[in-house]
Amino acid sequence: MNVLASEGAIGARLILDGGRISAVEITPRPAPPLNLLMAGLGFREAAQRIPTLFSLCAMAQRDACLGALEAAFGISPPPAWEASRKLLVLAETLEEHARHLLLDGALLLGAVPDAEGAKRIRRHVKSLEKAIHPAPFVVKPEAAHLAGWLEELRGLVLERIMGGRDVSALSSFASLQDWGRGLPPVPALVLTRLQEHDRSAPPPATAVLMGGLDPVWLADMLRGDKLGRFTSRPATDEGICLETGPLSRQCDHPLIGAIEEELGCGLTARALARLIEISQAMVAMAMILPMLEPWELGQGPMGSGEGIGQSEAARGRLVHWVRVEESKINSYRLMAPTEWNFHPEGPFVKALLGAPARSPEAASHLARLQAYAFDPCVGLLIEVYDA
Amino acid sequence: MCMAIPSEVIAIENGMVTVECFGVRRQASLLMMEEGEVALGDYVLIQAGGFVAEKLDRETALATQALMAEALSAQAS
Repeated sequence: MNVLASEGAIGARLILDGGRISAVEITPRPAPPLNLLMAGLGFREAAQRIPTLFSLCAMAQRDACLGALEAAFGISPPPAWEASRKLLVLAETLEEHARHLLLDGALLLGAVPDAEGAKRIRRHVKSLEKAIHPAPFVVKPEAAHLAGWLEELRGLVLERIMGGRDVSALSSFASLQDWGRGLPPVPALVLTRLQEHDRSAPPPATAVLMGGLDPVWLADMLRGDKLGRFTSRPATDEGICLETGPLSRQCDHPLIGAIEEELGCGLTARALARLIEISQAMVAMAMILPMLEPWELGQGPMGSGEGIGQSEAARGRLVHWVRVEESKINSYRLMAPTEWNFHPEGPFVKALLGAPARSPEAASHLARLQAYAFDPCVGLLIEVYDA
Repeated sequence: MCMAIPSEVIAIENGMVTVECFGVRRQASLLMMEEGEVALGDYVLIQAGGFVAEKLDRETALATQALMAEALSAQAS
């Protein structure tokens, strides 16, 4: 049994020709046996199993699963239940973005990682679920505790990541440069190195970003995807491979526009989009907290139907599709953001094609940088060949 | 898809662990864990990048492994 493949590693074979990457061949990762793992489960069991199956984005996976199940059963979630889910997804997104900067980014770019900062943020975020849910399907918020929790998180983010100044208020490249001078060592080094790279190998000026996707179209595609062709290589009906993730969500932010004008649509823009999301997640959580009220799920819903659920995970859009018969799951499919971004003709491949690389090691490092920009969680098995 | 497959810790040395799952051995960093948090025989999850991300209780880990093994075997056949 191939453990790495099961955990989601993608193969990337790079061909070097004349000092440039002339071809990139992607081997999509195998689809997880989700249909087998979810078949026969009812509402409660499914919602509890799904986060245990994924090592990343567990809260976003649960949110998309619940959305699909609710649609299938024809029910609407009570506001308190929906608010608690959104809160946990936002916190999870913040934690993953912070870790990718303080740990993965540092290691990739030759800095000493701020593992202590990443750990403190992770521990703090992990404590949220129990503070909201004393038991599964029970919301019991303690307003004063949660307000303090958020304030402590804000303090950690400002100290470890933002250098005391919130990035989302910036709108020009000059203000970004000024802000960068006050950052802690790891964020400062990562952003400096990414900018240097964008200047030495200018990325395209634009990207093909994912906006809203028609849920009826998505449901049709997933329902008919018995062999997994769509979910392993998703594209629009016109064959367009879209980018999903922080850049697609933050493309209207003035700072992103300023970076794209100065450095193109590359590593810096994608890293800053994550930082903006960290900041915006804290604002969004502050707005959600007052919506939390005590709530408890009674008997799980009963019935038959089909539904689709979408959730914005740190890495991009997650889509779950489910068919339920007599209150039990009969069929289950999932489309992950990675398959959009690492499509054989998608954004990751386009970012590498034609890029200068003087050696196999340089080509490999470039592939890791681009993978970091699109999805730092993806396991990448890189091979480099001379033409 | 980043499936969470629990692996058993079979060696610890210099901030690294060797883990085993389904007969495959790998190494991973303990950078994201507290000192002394992971011991021999524990079950952990490994994230992309090669970090131990979480410790699981033995019962949950074995149940998840069994579930995954059954589903992955069924998928392969």
